[in-house]
Amino acid sequence: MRVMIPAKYRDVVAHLRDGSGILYRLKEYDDHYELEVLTSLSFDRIALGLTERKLGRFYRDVEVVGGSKKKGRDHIVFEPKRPFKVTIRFAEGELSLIKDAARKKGATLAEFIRFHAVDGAFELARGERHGIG
Amino acid sequence: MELDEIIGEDGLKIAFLKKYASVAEALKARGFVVREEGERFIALSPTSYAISRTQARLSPLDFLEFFKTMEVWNGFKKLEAEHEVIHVEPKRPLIMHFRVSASERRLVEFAAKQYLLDLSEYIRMCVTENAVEAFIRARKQKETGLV
Repeated sequence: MRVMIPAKYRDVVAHLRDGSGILYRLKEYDDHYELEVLTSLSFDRIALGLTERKLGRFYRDVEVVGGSKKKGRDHIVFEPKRPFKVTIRFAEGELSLIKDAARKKGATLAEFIRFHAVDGAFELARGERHGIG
Repeated sequence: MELDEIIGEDGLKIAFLKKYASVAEALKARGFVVREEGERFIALSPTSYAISRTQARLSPLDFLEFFKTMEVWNGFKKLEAEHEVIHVEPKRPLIMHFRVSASERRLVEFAAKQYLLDLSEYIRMCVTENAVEAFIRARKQKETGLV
């Protein structure tokens, strides 16, 4: 998924440089910035130093290629398109535990599984910092 | 929810003779539910696990005999690492699907490769580990009266 940010949001992009490298790659062009994002990503209004109105404008102006954007009051969530289906087998006890943990987190079963699979891999990749295409 | 309820009647169970009390102790110390039924111990688990010979505090011959005499319900047993480790796996009849993006798939495939696991084994390991940790955390909070 690629998030295109117009060049006028230079100040916002300055806040994004911290996560750059592994969670997303930031590329600079003449008229826009491009974030190449690995997985779903959330932008927090306060962390980006935006007012509610500016967040609304920012939301309107960013374009997403290969995914979608969704706006809450204080955040914007970018979700990649997910065309690949992964199948896993579980024992009843395993699935009961996972369902219980997902319910406590307020997540669906698929969200919980995807989050922990990707998060675990992400932590490992952060340690390695190489080898991911 | 208690662990017995989570594991259910169809859950992974092993039964072994009472002379292997050191194995029962080792499993109890790891948080397993271990019951006494007649001449045997019954240990319950929601997921796969390994018992090493050193944890079991048994000689190589006794460990082999323990492996041969233990019974596994709703799963199977394997002797690995030159007869030093017993691996117990549950049957996994439930199929679950979820969707990922191309980069999420590459990321998870990369991680699975690092652990020398296939994609589904790796995902199951990550997710089950987190769910077990969440369960243990919740149980400890309940015990200490934090919830």
